[in-house]
Amino acid sequence: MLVETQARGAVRIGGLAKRFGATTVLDGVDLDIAAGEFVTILGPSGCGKSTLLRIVAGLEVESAGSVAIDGAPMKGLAPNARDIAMVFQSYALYPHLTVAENIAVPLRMRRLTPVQRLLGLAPRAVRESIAVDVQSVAAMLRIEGLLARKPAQLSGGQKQRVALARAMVRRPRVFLMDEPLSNLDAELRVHMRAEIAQLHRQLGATFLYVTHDQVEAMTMSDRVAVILGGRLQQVATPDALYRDPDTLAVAQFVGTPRINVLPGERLGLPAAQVAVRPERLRVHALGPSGSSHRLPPSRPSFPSPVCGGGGAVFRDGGGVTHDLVCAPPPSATTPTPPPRAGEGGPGTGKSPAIDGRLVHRENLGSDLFLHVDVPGVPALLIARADPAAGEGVSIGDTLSLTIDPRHALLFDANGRRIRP
Amino acid sequence: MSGVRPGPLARVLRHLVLMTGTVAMLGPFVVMLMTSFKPKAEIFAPTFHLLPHSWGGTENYATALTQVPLLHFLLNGAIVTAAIFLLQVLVNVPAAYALAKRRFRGRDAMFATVLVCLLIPYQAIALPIYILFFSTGILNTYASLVLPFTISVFGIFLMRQFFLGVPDDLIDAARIDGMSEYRIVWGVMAPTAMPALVAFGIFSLVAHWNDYFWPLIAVAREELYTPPLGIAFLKQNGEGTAYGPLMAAATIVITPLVLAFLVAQRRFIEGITFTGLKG
Amino acid sequence: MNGRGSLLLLTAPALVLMALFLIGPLLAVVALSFTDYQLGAPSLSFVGIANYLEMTEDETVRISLANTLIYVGVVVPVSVALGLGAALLIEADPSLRGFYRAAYFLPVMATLIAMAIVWEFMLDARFGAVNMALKAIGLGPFDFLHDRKLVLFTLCGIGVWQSVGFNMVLFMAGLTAVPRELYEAAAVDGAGRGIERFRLVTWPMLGPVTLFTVVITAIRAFQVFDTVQVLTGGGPNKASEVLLHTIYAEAFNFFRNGYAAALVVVFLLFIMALSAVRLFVLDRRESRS
Repeated sequence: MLVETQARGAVRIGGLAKRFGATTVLDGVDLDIAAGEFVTILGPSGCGKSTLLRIVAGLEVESAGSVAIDGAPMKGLAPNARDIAMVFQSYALYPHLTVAENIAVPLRMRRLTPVQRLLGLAPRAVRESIAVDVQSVAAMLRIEGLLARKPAQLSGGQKQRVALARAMVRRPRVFLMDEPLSNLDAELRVHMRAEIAQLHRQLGATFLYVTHDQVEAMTMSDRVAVILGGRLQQVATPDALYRDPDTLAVAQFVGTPRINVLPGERLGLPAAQVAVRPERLRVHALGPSGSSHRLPPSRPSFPSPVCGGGGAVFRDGGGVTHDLVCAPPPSATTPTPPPRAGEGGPGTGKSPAIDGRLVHRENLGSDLFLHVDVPGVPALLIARADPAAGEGVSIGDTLSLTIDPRHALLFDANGRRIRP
Repeated sequence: MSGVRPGPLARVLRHLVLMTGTVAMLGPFVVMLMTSFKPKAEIFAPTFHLLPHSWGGTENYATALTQVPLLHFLLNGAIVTAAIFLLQVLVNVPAAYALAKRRFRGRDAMFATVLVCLLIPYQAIALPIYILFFSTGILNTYASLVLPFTISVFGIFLMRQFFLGVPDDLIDAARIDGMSEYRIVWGVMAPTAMPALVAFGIFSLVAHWNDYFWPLIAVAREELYTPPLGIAFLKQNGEGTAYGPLMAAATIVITPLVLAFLVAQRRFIEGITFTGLKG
Repeated sequence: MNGRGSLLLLTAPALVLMALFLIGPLLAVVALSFTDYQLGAPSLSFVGIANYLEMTEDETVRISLANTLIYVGVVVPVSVALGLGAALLIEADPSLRGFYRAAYFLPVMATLIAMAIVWEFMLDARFGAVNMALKAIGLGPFDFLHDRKLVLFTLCGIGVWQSVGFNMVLFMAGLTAVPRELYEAAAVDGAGRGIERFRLVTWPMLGPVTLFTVVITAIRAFQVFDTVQVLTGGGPNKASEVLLHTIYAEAFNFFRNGYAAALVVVFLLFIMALSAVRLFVLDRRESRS
């Protein structure tokens, strides 16, 4: 199977809206997808992302707005006239057909006339060309051995591959994927993420991928479009979404554990709300006789990388690409004098500090999460530290947290980002 | 089905075809009703009008109700079907519970028996039961109409299916709370099985209200006639062509069921589907 | 009240009634078929297979069986096909769905005896609405219930009329069980509407439901009795004689219970064969899901 080199499959979505009776599911979405790009539409259940995908596919009719592929408007075109393929969450394999027959369906629809199909009168040449294409696509996905089986005899992962094969066999310019991995178990999902990413590189077609799982979004996409409540919040590279979110909603949606949100005036910062990632909170444990030492942080976190092989790369904030490796061992403890509470803030050259009580800790082996109860802040603040440091602190201890203003994300009262 | 409605032309065609079918389906009901309102002269007129030109309804219905005790027949129908259903519930629910949730030797044998019995059409065993009733003198009583149907293996099967889906934890909790088996069956299982009971109830009530074969055999006394027997009786004993009163009688007989159906349509169809698919 | 005692109480009524009104009579019928019992006779004697032999010579039985098979052979395919058609059409669009569903289902519910009498009136050779309508387009009149060539098919018609709604409802349940994503995959693949979609998705998914519906309809058709007894009495000249009616006549008009029992056994064999198929289909579906 050759790598596609034509630049086909640019999708332009303009002002797309969809209403079901009185409910508005999509509220004016604009999205430009370049040919060959892998864009994920990310959002919680019910946010309209599946509806968006189905409108692009032609399975739903939009209430307003337009969809164009390679400049041609798609309005009124049936799904099979759009040169797109779709992979469904439930795989949607025809249960009464074998794997080979399943994969062949789109080809039979295109290369045979209805009469030929009805009466089973496919000319030999056409039948052979179909068989060749089915075989080559099956080889790409390593399912040649399953061609004679029926879907009921396949495992979840195998079914997913067959669904992919059926989509690929037509070499469409756009692949639409509706949460294809959500029915697979966790381990398989990790594996399939790498496979899909690899497929994308091989085929060069545009991938439009819908999911609620941010790990999938962050690891596979060129860009991610976050949709909340039917509205497009932000479209950016995974890294930009993580470090430079446009809205508080996006900042809270992306990243596990959730970003910490503090009221702005608590820290003397000019914003209604301040958000800080768990790994950006510096934690000082107060020891006996007033001394204190800083808990070593774990490596600044990136969304969980796919470990081991696969050739996945990650681009950091400075634009440098790294091959993904598993997190390295933590650095040693560095005792530093803690700032005193109330000190610090803009102009002081020191970071704002807040004291809280440790109420819960989660030791995942690779990371340690400390849940701190700070008076005046409704939710618990979560700080990330090195597991080795966990020995020294116990539930009930007072911890002092400081924030580097450079790493604090400021938001106004409407949740919009304030950029300095 | 997939969010895209058929085009306007297709929709019109659909209505055309379905309406034609509707005429065939509802036609008899309309004719029945209209004829019951017509006087004799119009019914036997050489040309056919759907709507009555003059009112003959009062006479027709009066004749229908007085020539035979039609209302009494309706009452019989109600008594018999209610009694059957009640007894069915009393017999079937505990048995289904035992089959679903209690472990005992012979349980599989009992269930196998239930399955075999499911294959038996009731007309096939009518004869021996008739002979039994004949020799014990029970024929020609309400009991003869009710007793053979108190055992409904279909009901047992249905209830058991449903009970299998009830989590064992619920029952264990009830036992720990000190409930007797009796309380568990009627206080815990039956309420949980309400949908299945309603579905079965509809099935049972409709089937036995409309039953003709067994009442025909079992009773000969007019005062015991159920609605189907009643109207057959009216036909055979009246002047054969007294269509006005006959149609009036037919209307009276099917009205209760039709009204119930219109009111609880969804439940009816669900009930029949549920029992049809499962049984 | 727990333990063994309660178990007895739970199952005893059902067991006793099953023995008394199901298993017992079943065995009794088979036993009876080998006797010459007549109702009210002081004694009976065992006659071996004499009744069965008599059956094979009995002209009435032969006609009756043939008629019944014809009846089943007509009613089943027609009512299943019409039921499927109605279900497909009604489900295709939401407009007036509830109304159509109710209209088509009503005949299933209405007491057959009553409606049979209505049909008799409508089919009357002189005053019936059907003949009036046919006259308007220049056909007929037909003596639907008294013409030897027509009567059985007339009864088939009433049987179909009564069954379509039931089958329709079963098919509707089957149709709504088809996963939406399968239709969508078909649309993306190019089989979005019409015959292609029906062949690729609808029909294969309806397979089990269709088989089930056919069997159920066949069983119901075999049990045809009410219309025959009330409208034609098996006539004219046995043209509409059916198995259950013959059994009824032998048992309760002629009181030849032994012979009737033998007929019942034949009836039973047909039905049990069909019922077994029904159970088998159920089994396969349950084990598949």
